[in-house]
Amino acid sequence: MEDKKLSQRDVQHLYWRAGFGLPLNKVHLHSWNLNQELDYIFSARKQLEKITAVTESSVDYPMQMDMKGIADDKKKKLKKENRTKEADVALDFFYLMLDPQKVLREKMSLFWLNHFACRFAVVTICESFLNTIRQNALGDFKNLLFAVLKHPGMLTYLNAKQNRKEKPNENLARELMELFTLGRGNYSEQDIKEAARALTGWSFRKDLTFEFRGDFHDEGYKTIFSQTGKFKGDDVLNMILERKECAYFITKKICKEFINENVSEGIIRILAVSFYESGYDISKLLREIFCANVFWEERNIGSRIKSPFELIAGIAQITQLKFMSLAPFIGVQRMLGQELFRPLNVAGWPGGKSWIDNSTIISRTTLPYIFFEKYRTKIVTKELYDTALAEPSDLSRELSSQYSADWSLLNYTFNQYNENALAKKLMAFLIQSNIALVNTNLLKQPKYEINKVRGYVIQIMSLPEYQLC
Amino acid sequence: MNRRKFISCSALATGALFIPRFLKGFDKTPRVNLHSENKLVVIQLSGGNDGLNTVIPYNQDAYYKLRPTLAIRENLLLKLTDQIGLNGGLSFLKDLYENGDLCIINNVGYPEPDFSHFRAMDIWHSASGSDKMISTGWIGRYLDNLNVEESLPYKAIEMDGTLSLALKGERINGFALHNLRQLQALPNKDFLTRASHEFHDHDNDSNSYLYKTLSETFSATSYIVSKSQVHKSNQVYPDTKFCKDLKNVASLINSEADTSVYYVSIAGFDTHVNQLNQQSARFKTLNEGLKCFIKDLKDNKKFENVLIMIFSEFGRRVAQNANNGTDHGSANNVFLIGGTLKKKGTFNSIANLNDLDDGNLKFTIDFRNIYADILKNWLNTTPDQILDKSFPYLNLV
Repeated sequence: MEDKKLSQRDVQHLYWRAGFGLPLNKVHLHSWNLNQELDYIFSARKQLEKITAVTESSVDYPMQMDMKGIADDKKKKLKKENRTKEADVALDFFYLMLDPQKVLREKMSLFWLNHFACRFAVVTICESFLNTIRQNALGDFKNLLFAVLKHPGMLTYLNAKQNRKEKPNENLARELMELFTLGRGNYSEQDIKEAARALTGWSFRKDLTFEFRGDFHDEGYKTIFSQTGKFKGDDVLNMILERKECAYFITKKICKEFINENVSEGIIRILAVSFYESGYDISKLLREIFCANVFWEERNIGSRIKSPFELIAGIAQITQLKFMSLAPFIGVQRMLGQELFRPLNVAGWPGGKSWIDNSTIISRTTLPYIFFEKYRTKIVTKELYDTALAEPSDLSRELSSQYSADWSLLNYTFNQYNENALAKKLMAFLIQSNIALVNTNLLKQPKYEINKVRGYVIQIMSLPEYQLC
Repeated sequence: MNRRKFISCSALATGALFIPRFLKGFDKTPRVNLHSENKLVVIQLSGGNDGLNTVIPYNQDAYYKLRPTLAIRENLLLKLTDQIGLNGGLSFLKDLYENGDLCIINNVGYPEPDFSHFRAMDIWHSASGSDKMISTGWIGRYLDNLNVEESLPYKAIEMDGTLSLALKGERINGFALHNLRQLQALPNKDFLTRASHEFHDHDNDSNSYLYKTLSETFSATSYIVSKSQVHKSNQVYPDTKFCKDLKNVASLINSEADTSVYYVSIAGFDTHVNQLNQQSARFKTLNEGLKCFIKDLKDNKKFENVLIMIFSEFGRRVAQNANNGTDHGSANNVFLIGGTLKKKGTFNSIANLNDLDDGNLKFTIDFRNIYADILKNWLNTTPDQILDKSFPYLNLV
């Protein structure tokens, strides 16, 4: 399978799933080999560029949100600064997604960020959480699970500090089993109660390092998955990882994300066994998925609805789109329904068709006009419930001229074609669904435009088909 | 049965049978729905409205003890009974109460309450328990359950730029209506319309879904535009977004649009600091907006067809905080307003403020009981398929 010769549509399929579309410098090639492309894609493993928007900032952002004794106006200011910086961290992350040779790490991080869905009170913790995810995104799931569960972000979000021996809080234990590792039906209520006891005492220090608080820990015997012992938190994670259901649950979710929603039980099972036996090697699993026959089936090409980040990153990768300020970056995310670091709840965004409703479909199809044609739209999003975190004044203004783009690479790649061939070539490059069924005559010939490539690309990007990959 | 209903039913019984099949497809008039005249208007107070300064238990000493500077003095409130009074800013609600058009349900909540705005709102929207994550909303699932052949997104309209979880279904979503003019004046509308006409990729389920949503958006937009011009309101509403939203809802209801549920929000109830001013400013908008809205409906003889539910994602802590405000709490009151309420006045009394749950009011009514009642007795549907388990009806409406 790894020797597979790839057609243009195939190689685009691979790069849409492993990243955000085929890099422009690979378009001119006439043949592609799966093995070579996978080596290129997986070279992302060797590189890790830390995000340092907070750590290298001249402003001293607090490690924790301790608001006691701080005056109200200052409190509001602090929260707002944190909120703005959080968007800055998100933007740094977004720009890292645009480097094709590093993209797999960022794409996988986007997945894990939604798997371990979390919100943060302070931006210091947010950046550190993101880096923890990115560092482990392509490594092994065991390290990732330990690092994320012991991170102050997760410990705070799921009330680990309130989980004490006198009065256990089950929040962390429940989401650990239900959403992060096993899935419903693979544990009992009793397992959760007992696991919560084992997880008592998990805390973190002021410098954000993990701390085990013996004085809050329940030393007694616990019975989890029919085993009895004086278990601690680490034991719970290890016992979960020993269960094959965990490998199945994670494999299924990754297949859904990287192949499609409808991958058969049998195929998931085969991949899950291999994932389990590899000691939860995430890169190995991904490579197996990209080599599996099911990945290349016609029905799995061009049939997945892009997440808002896939959509924006896909556009930006080929047009060098830049956000000139943070407000339009936040505004666009909200308008499309995926604001980084602000998942709806701990279950994350459900994805697929749930991205699409009457307002988001309109936002998506007008997006290229907003980015490139100075189309004026008022970004109207819900007032946040927490007024201290809201910045409606920054967002409600009309958004235009807040973006820059550079069309020279696209022009350079496609300028060899005459006008008739050009529309077809661009369509084949930008649309992954069956383009034989799309009428190229739909496109208005950009007669008056000096830049014909740009004229076509904007139209194609506004088609519903461009929402698919 | 009124005359209009009678005519539409008999049309189905006789004439419709003779319409050739191919013409039926072009017949865009709403399908006959015997109960389509009942409208639900949901008003969401975002941020966690302080219920105890809304419906005030002035006979409980604990209220005054726990809120030394925030409690509303007896002479400033609008007394309803010998136990409770309304916030002075809600004079119109008192009128409704006296007319028997208001029902106050106290101590509404759910087990294991969540104190985060996002999660609490999520729970109210999805109608899930706090231990479950459901990615659809109760009104969305109501749409799913309508059993109509073609989906009618304008059956439930939210007056906002983005659609709330409450209106998202498994198959069918409600319609987020913000700016009709903008929807009509899209830069690429002709192009997209042509693309929809030439769409052939029916084997691709996702692609079909995108085109379906797009063409529904266009058709719903023109439906709403045509309806909103039928009956323009003469009523002068205050110039706030909330009141304008209510005005648009009134004009759609008065024009007999085939929409069953309207969803309107007013934000700013997260009163951690200087609560009195902040809450009374919001109440002024709420009170005036409702006054115009209901007058508008009554002038058009539509009030009897409308049920309004007012809720917030949680109530606030019983004791005030150090900043003349209150922090996130749990149980809260829910208001129902309508001309044909079965239960008028107050449904139950406010829980004992001396018997709190970690500083919070104990809940006695699960909010899903209210949803179940509205779904069954007002929207005439089967709540058991919409809520994940069976909740007894309170027979409020």
